Amino acid sequence: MKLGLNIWRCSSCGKAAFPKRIFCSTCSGATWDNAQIVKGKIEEISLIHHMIGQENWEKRCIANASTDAGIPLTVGLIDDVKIGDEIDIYELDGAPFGRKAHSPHVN
Amino acid sequence: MDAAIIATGQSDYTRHPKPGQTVFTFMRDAVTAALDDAGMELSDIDGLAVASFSLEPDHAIDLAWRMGLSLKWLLQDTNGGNSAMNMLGHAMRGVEAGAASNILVLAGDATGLIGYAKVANSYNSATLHHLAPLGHGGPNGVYALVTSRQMKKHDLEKADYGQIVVAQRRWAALNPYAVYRTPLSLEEYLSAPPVADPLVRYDCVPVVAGAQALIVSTPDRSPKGRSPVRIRALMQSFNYDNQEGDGTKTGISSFVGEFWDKAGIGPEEVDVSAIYDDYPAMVVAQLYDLGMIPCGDVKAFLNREIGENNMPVNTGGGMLSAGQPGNAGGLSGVTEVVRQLHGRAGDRQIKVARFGLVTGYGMTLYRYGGTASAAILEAEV
Repeated sequence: MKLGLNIWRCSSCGKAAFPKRIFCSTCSGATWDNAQIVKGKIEEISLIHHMIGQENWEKRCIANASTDAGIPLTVGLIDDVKIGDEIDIYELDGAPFGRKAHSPHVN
Repeated sequence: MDAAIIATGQSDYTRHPKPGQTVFTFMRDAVTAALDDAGMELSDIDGLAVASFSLEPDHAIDLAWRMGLSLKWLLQDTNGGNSAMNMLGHAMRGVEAGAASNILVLAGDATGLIGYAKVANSYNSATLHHLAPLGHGGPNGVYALVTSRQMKKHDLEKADYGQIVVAQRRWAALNPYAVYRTPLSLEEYLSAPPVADPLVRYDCVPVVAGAQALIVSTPDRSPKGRSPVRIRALMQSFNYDNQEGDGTKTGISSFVGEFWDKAGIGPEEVDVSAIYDDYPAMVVAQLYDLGMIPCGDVKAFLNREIGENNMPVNTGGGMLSAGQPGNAGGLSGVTEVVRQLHGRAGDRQIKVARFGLVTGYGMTLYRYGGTASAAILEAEV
């Protein structure tokens, strides 16, 4: 797990995108530059108690986070955060996770 | 040429299919019922539209082959909760254009819980790569977050959503095909086990196996003594906001003015509705977008019109009580409204049914659904 989520910015207008798009929804640009999201803020949280078809499910939290790049993300929560908390955003194999800002780095 | 819905049919629904029951047996039962309803033979069918997660690796043409159908018109739809409406629109235009005379619109699934979980976690690449690794809980997790946003936006409490669930269970008690027919109290709803906060068990559709079918044809093929059901307006929206909103609005909001203009009626003239109910929050979102909620006061509407006045919304119990047979979930709303307009809805028949509203919604792209549709159906009087 690394700090920062890889996202993309339209080479023409700078609009951020995650997941990656083919054309930019604002200017129809077709080329993208790599960028990162590092900071977010928790807007809503859901504790997932149950997943259909799965036994031995371990409860976990997901959240909607606003980000400094201006695009909302659905993140998995690593530690105990609350609505309104600032988070650092981590990435594991393309999936975004969040933990309370300024927590010790996790691997 | 003119087009109309002339017949409907459905299979039994079951939570637990017996050995030997497959998507094909459920589809067979729904098709047989629709043909009986139309007074047609299978050989009269020259067009087929189908939606199903369970056909894989087969396609629509394989199904036509297995059914012994030789066709002039064929469609396989992959739009999930919007499939029924998409198929209905294409079928209507297919008959109007003379591409086919009698189009069978069919949907069914028998995924089982394990199969459903597989579909839920690999619904699209965004889900597979960016949501499932979080343990997001499938669509329940996605719409839990949408519900929280909607609760903030409209100052709603869980009990307000309970009005929808409890009312639909009242209707389901009158539908012999519904898998849950025992009356449900608001207290039982509020104390139900949590699934994905704030969603509880009764906010989530029960997965069932089953199939639904209808036949679109020319009005003159309608059985004697039964009014053909015409489609006064049908509009759709696909990816209307690039997932840049908050999911509390649907694509219906992008066409609502033109929709009512085309229908030639207003929201207050709708007699019966089937609003795609994958979650209570999405019933609210669609009704709001359609202008069906006077003054936009959602809380008052849910408690008064749905709770106290038993407004005829999802009169078959909806998917929340009757069950969601995968892709056939959307079609169940259409067939229910057609039965109401035909005056053949049994104990749940409403007194006056001339105009029916049906919607579709679904295909969760990342944070909410990317497809939405609405239609006004009319029975000739």
